[in-house]
Amino acid sequence: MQALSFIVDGEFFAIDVSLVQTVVRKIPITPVPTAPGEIVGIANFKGRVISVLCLQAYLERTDALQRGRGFESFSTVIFKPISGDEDQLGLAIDEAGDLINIDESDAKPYVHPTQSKGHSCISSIVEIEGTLYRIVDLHQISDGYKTKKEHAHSKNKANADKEKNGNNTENIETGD
Amino acid sequence: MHVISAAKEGKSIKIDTSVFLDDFDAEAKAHIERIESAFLDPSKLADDPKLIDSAFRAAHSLKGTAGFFAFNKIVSVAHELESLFTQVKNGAVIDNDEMSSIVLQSVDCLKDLVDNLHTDDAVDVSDLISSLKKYTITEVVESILEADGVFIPFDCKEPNTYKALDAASRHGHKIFYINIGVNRSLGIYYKNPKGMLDTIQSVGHIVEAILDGAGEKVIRNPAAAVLAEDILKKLSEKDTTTLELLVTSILDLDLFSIAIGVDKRHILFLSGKDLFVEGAKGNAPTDKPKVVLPETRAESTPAEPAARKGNFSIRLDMSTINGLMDLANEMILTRNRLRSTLSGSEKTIHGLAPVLHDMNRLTSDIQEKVMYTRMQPVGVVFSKFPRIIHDTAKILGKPITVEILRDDVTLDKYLLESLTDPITQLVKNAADHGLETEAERIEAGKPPKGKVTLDAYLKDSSAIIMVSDDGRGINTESIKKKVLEKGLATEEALETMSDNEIFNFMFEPGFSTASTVTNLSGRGVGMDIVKTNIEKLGGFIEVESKLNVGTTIRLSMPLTLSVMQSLLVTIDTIEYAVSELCIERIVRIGKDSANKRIEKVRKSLVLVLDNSIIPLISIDEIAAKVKGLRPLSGSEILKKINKKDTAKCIILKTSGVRFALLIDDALVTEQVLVKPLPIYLRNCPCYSNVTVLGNGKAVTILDIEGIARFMDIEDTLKAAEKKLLPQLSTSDGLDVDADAKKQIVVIKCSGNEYFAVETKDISRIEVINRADIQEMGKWFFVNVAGESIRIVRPEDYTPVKKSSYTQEKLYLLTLKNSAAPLGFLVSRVLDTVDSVFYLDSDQLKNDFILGTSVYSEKILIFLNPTAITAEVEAEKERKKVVRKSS
Repeated sequence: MQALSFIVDGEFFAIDVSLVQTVVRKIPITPVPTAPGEIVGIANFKGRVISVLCLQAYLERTDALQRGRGFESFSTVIFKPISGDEDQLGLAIDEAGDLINIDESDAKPYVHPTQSKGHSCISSIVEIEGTLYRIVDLHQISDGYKTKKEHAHSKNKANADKEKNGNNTENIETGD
Repeated sequence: MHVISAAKEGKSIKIDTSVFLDDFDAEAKAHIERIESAFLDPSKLADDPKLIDSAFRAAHSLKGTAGFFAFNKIVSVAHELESLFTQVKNGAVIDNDEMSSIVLQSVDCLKDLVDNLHTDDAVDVSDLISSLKKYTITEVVESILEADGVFIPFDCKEPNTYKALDAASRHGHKIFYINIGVNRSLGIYYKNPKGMLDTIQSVGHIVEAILDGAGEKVIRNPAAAVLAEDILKKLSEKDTTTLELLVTSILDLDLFSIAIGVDKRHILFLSGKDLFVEGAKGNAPTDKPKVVLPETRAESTPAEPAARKGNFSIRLDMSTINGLMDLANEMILTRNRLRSTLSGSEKTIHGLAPVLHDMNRLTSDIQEKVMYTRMQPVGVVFSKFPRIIHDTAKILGKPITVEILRDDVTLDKYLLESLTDPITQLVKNAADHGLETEAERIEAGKPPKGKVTLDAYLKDSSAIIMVSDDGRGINTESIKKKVLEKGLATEEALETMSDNEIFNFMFEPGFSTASTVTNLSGRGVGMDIVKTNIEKLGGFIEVESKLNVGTTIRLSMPLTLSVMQSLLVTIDTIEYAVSELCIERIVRIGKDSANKRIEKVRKSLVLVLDNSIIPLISIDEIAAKVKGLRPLSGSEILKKINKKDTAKCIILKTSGVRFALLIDDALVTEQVLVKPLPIYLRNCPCYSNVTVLGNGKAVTILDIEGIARFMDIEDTLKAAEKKLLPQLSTSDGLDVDADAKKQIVVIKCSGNEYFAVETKDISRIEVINRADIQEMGKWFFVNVAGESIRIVRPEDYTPVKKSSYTQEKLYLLTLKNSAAPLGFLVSRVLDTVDSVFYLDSDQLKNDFILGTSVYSEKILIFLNPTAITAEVEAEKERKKVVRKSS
């Protein structure tokens, strides 16, 4: 897997690069005070409204706004919409690093000592040239915001589409 | 052509028709509606032959398209309908009422079939078909063929031929007779008859062929593959000069001619019906003289293709349109950036200004066009009602007619879909409660047939949808009785209420004055749901009623949900957008304002304004509650407010709730494009949507109702009233600022802004024609009753956009106290209002503006006529000076 490495609060993380649309610097973010603590705010990226999340606040279940950081001075990783018209997520980071190649067999399962809920988005940990990278599972994060129904829906959608097409073809064959 | 060949017998080609299925669904429904609309009022059928024609064409087209997809049940029902309509067209007399009821029955069945395309096994059409068949008298209809002066050398009644043609026509195929000279008329297949025959077979079937005239070499319905070979063989055997073919195909004449590369002159379209009916009777073929196909045949091609051209459309996925909208917006933002980057260089770079100007216009146009792709005419909803009324009238046993006045106003698709149910409820109410029975109507001297009228039109920036009836009207007395019964208001309170206020009780949950509950309405659940739904969509509802004359209900809806007029406010340096529809007014609370103050009740704050108590909320408070933090107590907020000299808040109201929200500042009003709330913000109670502003900033749109619910406004209000009302009534708080009381005229000039002028400054209002305005130098005048009045445009003195007037009829507000006659040019005079206005001079600062105030959800700009008159005089002086010096 090719991954984009980045630094948040001096710690190294990595995320599947195929999910990343781009990394932007200093995107103006509008805070949303009544949103969950980890949401820094919303930003306009090419006419679309992106929700920007602070990874550190997500992991530690703290309040991004109360951390008092000027998020405008940080970079934001913007992810591709996960499927179709879905909302896009951005991750506020300190600095984007290099692309790294991760051999998945080297990755070790990650268990946070406190087993806090926020850390379940770290799927594994890998050591490359002496640096420990925590690998972030984006789907784990975004699924947390979906209702159960939507979750099931997005999973079933692909299957349903297949079935539907199958039916139609069949109808034409037997028809007339 | 590959698509069509899928329907060909014996050849099944795998084509993913799901793409076409959507189109079929829409097209089929349109056809069905056309049939339905023709038969809703049976009495009209006799007068208007066009109705039957249109129904016939619809049935025919439906049969054709359904045949392509092999929806056999639809085909068979449509076929029977087509036969029935043909009978009527040809003068068969069928009792109209009886016929319309069977046709409507078929329409319902067809709708059912279209809705359950793949599960139509459950729908049984055999009964329906047999009852339809009763009406289709099999009659020889030779007149059409003879009228065309054409003889078909084929014996269509020969059993095998008949069977083939019958089967084909049942599948929506059309029957063509081709008569060509083998070497002369082959067109693109010159010297290649095999090519032509192959092509014919790819788009249809050859049923019979005749070579070199009658009887000589007839090749009768052989298997498809053999036929072509046979013909070719015969062609090569002898020098054949003419070839006549009887062909069936799914294509229209035009397309068929293009497909096989043979000129239309050589092809005759035969109505499948005629041949088929003839055959059914089993008549012996009569001797007919052979007539050569006249060359002038081309003109008499069927009208079918022309009718189709009318509704050319494509279906698009909503996400494609939304994507386009995002792009258009981004383009506008980029344009703005480009403009500000180049702003200094316009003069130095030659030709830049016009390019920027063009781009400005283009980008705005594109955005607008894209926005309009989401719009659909109201007629889409209205067209359902004649049928609903027809059924309702039957159930209720009263004769009712429907009149649709205007239905071409377009609304956002989503909005329109959400409006269907409320309008249906209103229409049913009108039919059930509004209209009297036939006997009652005759007694009241009204026409026995009740009438429900539907209308839609544009007013200001909203669409008005009107449902009215000419029935008994709403009896205010019976509402009053019910109000007292339910204890919703006291008798004294009712006494002082206007009729409109009393009508509003109808929207209370569970309020019904109907003595009987019918299965249509009467349970009293309808109206409050209508009201909440309309308000949810950003609209409002108005009732007008006169006893024994009728009731009119008006829905006033925003034109599109995706665009919203909003006010931008800042709270703790963060920007938010608030729908202008929810804003009652903006209030500034100074340290020693007499008529407004902030009070603490329990832990919350309330605003006491002109003796009314309004809960006061701050975003901090909401955030604290959301995050489960210790809520900020009222005194902390009070402390925060007191740090500043004044506090500002906007008073918001929605469906009965009213509260004030603390803000730092109100910025500007802006039309914003509403976007759905990202899932990541979904659990926050105070936002309804998000948007991107013109300056490129993403902001949230506040959800007024959501905040009210989340913060328990009602609870706070009750507590506050308990504590504060006694104080208020004892204090002599009724002294409203005498200065604040104003009588104003609300006007609109060329732009969208609302201006207000106090009536004390106006001498009269004149109606003028735009053509009568005379230009004199830089100034404009108009002659009214021999007096020439100087025209002043309020836009020239206020910081608003100036555009030109388009309508012919304009108004002139002539001012008092001006040295020379002077009037404001106005496009519309909307209202005169007598009320208390507190002017806010912070929003718009200008010598010619007294201030702004919010009235019935609109921001009014109060003009200062004295200052404007003075300025006009000063301009005159300046001009004189210039003239003297030159």
